Amino acid sequence: MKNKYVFYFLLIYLLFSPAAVFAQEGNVSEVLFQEIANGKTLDIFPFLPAVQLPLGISVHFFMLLISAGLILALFFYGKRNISLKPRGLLVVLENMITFVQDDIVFPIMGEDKGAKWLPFFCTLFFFLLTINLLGLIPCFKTATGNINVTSALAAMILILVFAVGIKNLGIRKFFVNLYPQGTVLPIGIFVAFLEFTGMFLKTAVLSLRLFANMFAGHLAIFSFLMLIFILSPFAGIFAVPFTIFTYLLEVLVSLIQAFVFTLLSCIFITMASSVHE
Amino acid sequence: MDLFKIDPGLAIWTWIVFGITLTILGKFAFPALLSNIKIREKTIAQAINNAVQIEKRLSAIEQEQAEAIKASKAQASEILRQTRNQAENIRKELLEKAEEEAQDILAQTKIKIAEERVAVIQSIKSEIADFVCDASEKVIGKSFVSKDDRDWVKELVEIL
Amino acid sequence: MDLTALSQAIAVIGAGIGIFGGAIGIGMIGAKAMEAIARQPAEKKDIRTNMILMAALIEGLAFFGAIIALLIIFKK
Repeated sequence: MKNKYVFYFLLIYLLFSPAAVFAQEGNVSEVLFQEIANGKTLDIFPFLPAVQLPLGISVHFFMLLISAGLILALFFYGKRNISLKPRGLLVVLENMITFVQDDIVFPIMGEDKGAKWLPFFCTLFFFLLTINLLGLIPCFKTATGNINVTSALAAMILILVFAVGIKNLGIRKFFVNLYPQGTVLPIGIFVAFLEFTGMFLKTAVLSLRLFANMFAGHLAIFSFLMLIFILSPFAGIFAVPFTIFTYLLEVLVSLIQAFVFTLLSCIFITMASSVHE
Repeated sequence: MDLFKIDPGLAIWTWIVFGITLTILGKFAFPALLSNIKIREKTIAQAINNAVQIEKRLSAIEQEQAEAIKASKAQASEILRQTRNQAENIRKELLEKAEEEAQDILAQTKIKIAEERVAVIQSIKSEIADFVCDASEKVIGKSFVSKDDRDWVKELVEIL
Repeated sequence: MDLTALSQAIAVIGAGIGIFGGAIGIGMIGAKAMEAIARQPAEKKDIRTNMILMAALIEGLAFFGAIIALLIIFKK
């Protein structure tokens, strides 16, 4: 089987990539963070010196570019091979789009409004998914494991929440909407304050959740591998299966996190533009 | 600490990359793909609708057929019954006619027979009378019998 | 005793407590979701979506604790 060899190759790659870094540096926690943190270099081949990225762009930005390129390539491939009887990658693409459409956008926003917003959420979902999955390829890094990326995306959602809310309800009604009707004045003001801060808080947590999931997941993968260097080489007997398990779990987590981020941003944007009863 | 290092450049680049991806996809890729999906959905819905309609029509046709078969069967049995009746009638008529004819023929024959018998008896009687006369003439040896006598003998025989 | 070592130890314990709370929450969500699916299998899809959503919300809180602990542990 061809796939088996690919798997072995990936495994060996996975095992050697932190080892190479370890050989260069020496400190365990340093190595751990170098695996995850942003940098200017990308070590593509184990045991070889890291490659300096051109123009001094950081690794996470490089990952963003790669994911954007992959999405564009996938969509244009799909567009070129468009047909009523889809084949190959087009099936995957259309299934993903209908997944976003039927499980995220349409149940929350409704058909009319959802059709307008579908491209945005589809792009968001694919973007997050490709970035999350790219980080799982050995020697690549997760851009979503960087808080700047996730908070940029969450800030975009926050701006959209305000923009859509004000556009749909009007600036006065948008803020009046925060105040629960029929409550006593001091409590009402308190609730309105909570609602207003809640908007910022919810989006902040949105960014933090994605960041923490991806960051901690990769940290867990590398931590299990690092047991080999911390304890003894024979710890690999336990460490490698655990690493593989965590790695496969991360595949699931990256899918779920992309789904949750899209779903929550969809909910926030819909909630802001709908009148409270 | 690298973990929460703030890097506004990366955030701005994230926006830019996402924005460019969204605009390019929204402008070129999404309309075609989404319309394709919608068209396929419509086609599938239409096909299903068509299939349901065809099935309905088929069942209706089947029912019609069954009804037609039933009706024709009933008609056939009716026709059969009628024909049988007719045949029976005709047979009866024929039988009656034949019987009548037979009786007619019988009656005529009887009449004929009676007539013949009368004629035969007549002739036998006249023969007998002649014979008696001839015999008595032979016995006596001469012709004594005149014509009147013969007639007389004949009358006698008639009475006999 | 070294103060940093103490703070690191406490941070680890704090992360453990945070994860404990998250585990209880996710466990309850899972149990209730399974019950709901058993009661109404027709609504399986909706329930699953909401279950994942809620689990992710709680998971975010648990990760808060873990990250704060990590920040303290790896503080220079």
